[in-house]
Amino acid sequence: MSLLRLCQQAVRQQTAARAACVATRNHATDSNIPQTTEQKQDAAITEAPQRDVVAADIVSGAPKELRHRVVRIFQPTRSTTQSGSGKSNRWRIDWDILPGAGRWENPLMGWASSADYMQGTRLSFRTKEDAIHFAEKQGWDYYVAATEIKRIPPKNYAENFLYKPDKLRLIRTK
Amino acid sequence: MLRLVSSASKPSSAGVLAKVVVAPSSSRSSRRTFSSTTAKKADITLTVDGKEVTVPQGSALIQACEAAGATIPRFCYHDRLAIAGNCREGVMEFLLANHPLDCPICDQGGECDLQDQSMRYGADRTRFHEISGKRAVEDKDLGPLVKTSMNRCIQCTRCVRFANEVAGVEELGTTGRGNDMQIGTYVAKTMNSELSGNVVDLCPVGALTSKPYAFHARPWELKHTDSVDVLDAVGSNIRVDSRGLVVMRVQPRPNDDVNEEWISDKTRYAYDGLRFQRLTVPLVKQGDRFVTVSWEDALASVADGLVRSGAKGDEIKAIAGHLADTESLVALKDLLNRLGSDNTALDHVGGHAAPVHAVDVRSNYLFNSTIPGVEQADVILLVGTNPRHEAAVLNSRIRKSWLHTTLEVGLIGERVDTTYGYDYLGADAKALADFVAGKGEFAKKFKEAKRPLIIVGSSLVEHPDGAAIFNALAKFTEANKEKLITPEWNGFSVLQRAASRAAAYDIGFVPSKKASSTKPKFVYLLNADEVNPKDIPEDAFVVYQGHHGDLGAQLADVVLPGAAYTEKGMTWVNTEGRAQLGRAAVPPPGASREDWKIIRALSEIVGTPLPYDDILSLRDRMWEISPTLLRYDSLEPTSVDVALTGLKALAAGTANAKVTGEPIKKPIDNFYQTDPISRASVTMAQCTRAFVKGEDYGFSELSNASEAAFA
Amino acid sequence: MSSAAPAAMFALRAVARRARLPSSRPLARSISSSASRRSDALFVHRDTPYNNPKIPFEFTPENLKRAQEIISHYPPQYKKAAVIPLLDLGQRQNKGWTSISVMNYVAKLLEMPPMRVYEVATFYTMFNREPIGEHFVQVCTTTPCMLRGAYEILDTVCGHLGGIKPGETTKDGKFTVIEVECQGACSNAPMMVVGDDFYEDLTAETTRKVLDAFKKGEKPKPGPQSGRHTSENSAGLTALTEKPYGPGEHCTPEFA
Repeated sequence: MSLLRLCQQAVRQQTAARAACVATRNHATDSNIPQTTEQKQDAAITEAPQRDVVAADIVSGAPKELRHRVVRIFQPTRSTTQSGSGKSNRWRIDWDILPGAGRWENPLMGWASSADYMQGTRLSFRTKEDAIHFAEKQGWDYYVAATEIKRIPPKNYAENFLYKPDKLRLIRTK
Repeated sequence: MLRLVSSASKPSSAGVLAKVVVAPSSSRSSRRTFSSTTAKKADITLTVDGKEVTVPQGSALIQACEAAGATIPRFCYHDRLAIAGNCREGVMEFLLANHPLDCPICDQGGECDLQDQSMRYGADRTRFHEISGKRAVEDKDLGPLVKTSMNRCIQCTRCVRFANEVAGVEELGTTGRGNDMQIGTYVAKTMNSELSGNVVDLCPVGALTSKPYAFHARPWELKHTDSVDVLDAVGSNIRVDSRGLVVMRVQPRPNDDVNEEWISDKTRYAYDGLRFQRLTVPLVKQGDRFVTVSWEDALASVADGLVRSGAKGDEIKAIAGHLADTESLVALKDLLNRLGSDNTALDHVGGHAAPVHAVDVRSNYLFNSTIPGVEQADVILLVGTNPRHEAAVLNSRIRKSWLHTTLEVGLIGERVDTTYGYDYLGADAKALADFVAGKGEFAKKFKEAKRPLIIVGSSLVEHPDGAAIFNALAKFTEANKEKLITPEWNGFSVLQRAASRAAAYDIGFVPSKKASSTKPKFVYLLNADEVNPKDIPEDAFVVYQGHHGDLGAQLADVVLPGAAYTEKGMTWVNTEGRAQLGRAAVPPPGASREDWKIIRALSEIVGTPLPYDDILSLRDRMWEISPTLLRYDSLEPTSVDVALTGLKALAAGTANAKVTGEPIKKPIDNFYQTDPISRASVTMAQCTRAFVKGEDYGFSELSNASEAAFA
Repeated sequence: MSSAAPAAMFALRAVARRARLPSSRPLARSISSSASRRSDALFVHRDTPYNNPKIPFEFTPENLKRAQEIISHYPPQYKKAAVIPLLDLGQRQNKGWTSISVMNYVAKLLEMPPMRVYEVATFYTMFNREPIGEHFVQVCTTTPCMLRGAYEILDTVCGHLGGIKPGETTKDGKFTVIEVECQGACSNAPMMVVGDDFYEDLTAETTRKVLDAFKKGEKPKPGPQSGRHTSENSAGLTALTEKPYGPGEHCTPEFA
């Protein structure tokens, strides 16, 4: 019982300190309002209510080094090689590669080896809040990458055949 | 059992976030003027799969479904192209009848719409018993970038529409009819466009694939890293696809505020330059050759060189090149200032002095109208710039606007093919004077415009008449401030062409007046590969820090190997002043290190340690200099008052400028080779041969001899 | 769970299928068992001595005048609408075929990208993109003509012109024969087109006669070769048999 209490207290202080740290470093990047766009993005992330998060890393046995690495929370964009937008609704956490010889080529097989056990890890979440919650719980510093800005004008087939009074600037194809 | 009970409420995750994307109708109605019916756009609400969405009137049904989160399989429809209405979807089986079953040897395999859709919706048994065999179509030679395999073509005409509408290449089309219809140029021609690589992405099948990437990797083997392009100043969003230690390809990442969905061919294909000519170990010049040394020795010899050169104060000079990241610029400037020098120069003609527009007010050197804002302009004046080569993606926006609105463009400078029509006003300062005086047809159009835009080229800073031209423009802008500088619109935009330039100006990486006339004894080249060797004194001690053995390294006494843009997660500020965070996709090769770390280490050795040990504290320092450097993906518009003050200062600072009348030259002759990375790239060299010099680029013969080999 | 179960299942299915299939059918399909199918015409241009962009082409003054008249039918910004009539005009002037120079010239005249003209010229089969003989013989083999013996006519034409195949030109360059789809003269099937004229109601004999006349440099009378006037009933009229009344008949005397 006392152990649990101690853990919780320790964790609470730590989390608060970390949250402050994150705020001052100003990693949260999605509080922007582009000049010409009418987009209003929610600036709620940085000012999210201080939740009493119990960090899992105390007991999870995760390596301490992870605390020194910032994770990125982002929403993947659609791959331009395909039309489908599947999987671009989810939110992801991934890690930057470890700077300095985190990867090397196996001299025998030419395979890529790595000392970075997070390099292939990618976590998916339903919402941004889920991802942030998870990162906080694990005690990771994080930053939230801005989501894709999408502005597709309405299109219709009839535009191809509209009469234009002036000199044509586009000779359309079939 | 130990149980941690979290008091935090479980975050809600009910239902997948429905992304309802609807274009704002208000901004559009002003742009589409060719139709009387679209002038007033009402919104239409409809229910798709039980989900209610509201889309602007005139939207296609497929767009409404998309907005409701229901993806409709498609081949020919594309968000950014005109609707062709040659639906391929309804005839899937007929497409497959003629489509080769060569997915295992097709580069599109794994990211192919036809593959996915036939897997998902198609039958698993063939009904193909056609005795006449499959259609065979000859492959086309579109140049060194786009590989064709026309048997796989399903004639969706996306590439044709892209070439015709976006790229402005009218040579691509469809010939023949019915089953024998094929895509091509009819006459033998390469696809000469700086955006041609995008047709590879657009192609829903494997008919158009990337030639340099052919048979190199599979999409599922690649690690995707979202990053930012640095080969021009647009800051196109890219995704670097790497396998192991090698960058296998570069793909665009859609972002409607910057590059929409396109990237230029240089951005896409110069990546092989990252493998060649790299500096991987520190080098010290001994006699006429470079000798490999350890980092300690290299840094020590720099410190030693600094002492031996006897450089004091402004005699210590730093020149920052096009590919220097913001962090290293900050570190280098801090280091120089700590050594008592203000001699922080930039790597362009006349870069030894502060630019004529000064760097006190941001709006004097940034692209204030913003990149998407270009589409709102109704008259654009280009002064000393060829956006097609300096910012290819931005150029496609101008073309888009020119095609669909009554946009008028005027050009002062060297005549160039811009992919849109323009009024040519002249090549020198006199032409601008005439324009300012209101002479000529175009000046009249400009006067009548509601949202006029002046795009000033970065080359004017390098031009002898630059000061005079800036003076005239500043005065003109100020005089027409009710249209050019309003709270909603800033029509005075400078188009930078080097990725580091805006950041360098933001942090004040320019020499003081006194420093600019000082003869340097110690020169520190940070990614500076455009320097004129004559500008560096013979007896000066030269350090080069960078990633390629290009021009700068040859001049150096000590070479410190840095990381290229795909190897470091750094801040880049684009021509609009938009800070974006690049990410490291692969580690730097050999012993090379991230650039700011090299400078930090050097500062220790020369005895003036910089007060930051990790990237976060360095960014704290950047925050102190300018918070905009860390407000990623956002823009900080300059207020009207500040912008006007800036223009006043600009006009005052250049008041005594004299006009020499020298014609303005375009700064980029060869679009494909503008920086050490693209100069080291084999693909870019082939492009230079094929498109700039019009020679056989070395592949044509091969592709003609064995065209059926892979069919 | 081991992977043996699905494998076993597949094996079972394979056996079942084998049992179902007729034994004569090979289990593996050969890679290619069919002849490759070739297009009728190449839809790319290859430079040849007789057809390359360096060969000059220009409308004659009369044709240019006609072209301008045609262009004037359309709004000035939609000049490109005149591309089909102008290509036809060019083809007529260029000995019946549309060379790359003709297309380029039309593109220049109409201020449209050459590729847009190539698209049109390759789409419509009536634009010949290879040279043709003096007399262009098009034999219709669509269903009504076919039922009335069009293939016999085609064979006759080919045989009579020295055993050439459809799509070929005689050695002397006088005739080119092709097989075409419906020309809209079904009531007078079978038929063929020589130049701009229809020769209808053909038999092998009349076909030879027509061709012989062309060989001699004469121009046989176009229309039905069977003695029919137009497409009236060949067995004699069953209606409207009496003499048609002329003007003034059945009228009151004042109007007569």
